[in-house]
Amino acid sequence: MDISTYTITDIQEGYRAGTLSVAEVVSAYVASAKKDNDDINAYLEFFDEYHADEIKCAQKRIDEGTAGSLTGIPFAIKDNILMQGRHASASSKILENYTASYSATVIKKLQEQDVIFIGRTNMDEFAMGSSTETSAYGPTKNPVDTERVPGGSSGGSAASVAMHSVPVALGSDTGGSIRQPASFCNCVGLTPTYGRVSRYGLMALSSSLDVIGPITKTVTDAETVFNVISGEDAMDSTTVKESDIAHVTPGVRRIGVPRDILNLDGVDEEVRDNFEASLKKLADAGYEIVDISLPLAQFALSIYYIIQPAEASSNLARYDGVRFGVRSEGDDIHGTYRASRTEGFGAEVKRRILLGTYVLSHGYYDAYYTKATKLRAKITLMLDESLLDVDVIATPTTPTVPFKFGEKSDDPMAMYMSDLFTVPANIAGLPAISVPSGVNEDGAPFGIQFIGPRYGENRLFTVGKDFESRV
Amino acid sequence: MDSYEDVQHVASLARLTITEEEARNYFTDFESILSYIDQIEGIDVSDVEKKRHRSINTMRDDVVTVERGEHTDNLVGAAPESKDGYIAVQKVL
Repeated sequence: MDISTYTITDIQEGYRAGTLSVAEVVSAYVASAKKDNDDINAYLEFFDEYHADEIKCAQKRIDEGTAGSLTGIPFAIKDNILMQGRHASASSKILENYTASYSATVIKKLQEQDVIFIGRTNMDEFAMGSSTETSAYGPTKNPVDTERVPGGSSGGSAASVAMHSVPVALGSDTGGSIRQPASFCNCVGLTPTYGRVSRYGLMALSSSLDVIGPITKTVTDAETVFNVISGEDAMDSTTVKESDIAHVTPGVRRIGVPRDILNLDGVDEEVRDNFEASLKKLADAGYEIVDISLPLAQFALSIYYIIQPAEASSNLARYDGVRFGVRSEGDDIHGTYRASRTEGFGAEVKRRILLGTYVLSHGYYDAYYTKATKLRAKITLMLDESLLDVDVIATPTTPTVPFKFGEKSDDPMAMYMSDLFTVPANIAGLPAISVPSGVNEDGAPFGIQFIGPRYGENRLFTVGKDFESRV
Repeated sequence: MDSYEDVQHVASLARLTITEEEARNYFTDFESILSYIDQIEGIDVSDVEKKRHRSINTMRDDVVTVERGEHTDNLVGAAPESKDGYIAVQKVL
């Protein structure tokens, strides 16, 4: 069997048994990555120059019996997560020459484990997109079917796992950017509870929504990574103290199905059919499937496209050609700001900055932003209450299977609809996981999403593993 | 938003330069996005208390834990232009 198709669990077993060495694992993955990357474009850069040292440290710990759960595991990292001394561009031209001044907390936690970083992965520019087509460095292809998009914004991360170049990649999720590409590439994607994983060192898109999480081949692997990267961090004041984390029982018996959002326009028939088949498998396995009503959930996408551009327009104000990135000289300082931003940002980034600036501007602020934050509170309360009645909520991950290149890139609203099922969890800050649920007759993947209560990742792992074993 | 000129106004607020053609295209996009967003218009949110819908900034104390100048080269080095340990820009005033 080809090593590059292994899971984290497989590799760790091999290390423990002494049947695999870190060097041979890394060389198998790197070979696989380089063979396919010219075609797939999952990676913007490979990190080979660091491997000799990383391999030595990892192998030493394995040999000495002091290895952690991720020691010697190859990782790919989304291009918006900082690693000190290495390039990080968020797939934007404005940061094409940027070298990170410090490392993200998640990177430090992985370094403490002595993982091996294979490279940084392509994404939609500043994580704005659902197809990886907005990258300034060309789109990533879906390894499952190269005529289709890999999803986004963590499309390069999902593709890196699907093309067997790593067993795991880190992504970030603001409205579905981990789960949607994971679903499109037939992988598992975990979006943890907001505040459970430090955002320190993640380039901010929308600070009240952004979460870092893993894309893996199995639910068990996602759990292993989550256990390492989560935890309170003094450098991110929105992380939750361990003592404030309410205990959630891991058991899952009742699964809620929000019929009102399943039947919205834009949800493909084949997606509904696949989802019903998944529910039947769960019912046959003894779960109680109950219809629930989440009448406000359909408005989550509307308020997402107020809150997220509003926060993004503020967060991206820092890219002005002064402190980092590319400067395009203008006639005066204001001209330099304008020239740097106009030349450095792509069309989708500008679209969201404009939209965000508009909804925050005088005369519109209350109608849009204030209203959205109030509705956000109501949706959050509705989901929290619903999750007292059911153990988890299930939906399809995406309203369609992966689409073809160019199919939605000229119609922003059609592209935004890709996030219909994933956005509610972000709006409420709840954990959610996407698990593969089969393919259509063309081989295009479907995914099922489970949303858990706040801090209830353990429930997602319980039901996710069980579901995965039945597909 | 009433016309593409509003898009150009917003662009100038956001320190972006856009052509008339770009402004017209964005205006078309915004018409469709804003009409989708406007679905929330009729939803009653009067029952949401002020304190419940606000995200709260939580700040730790700004305790200096590093030596003066420890990170200066690293951070200033990231700027497109620097001089004598400072970030260099054109005249501001």
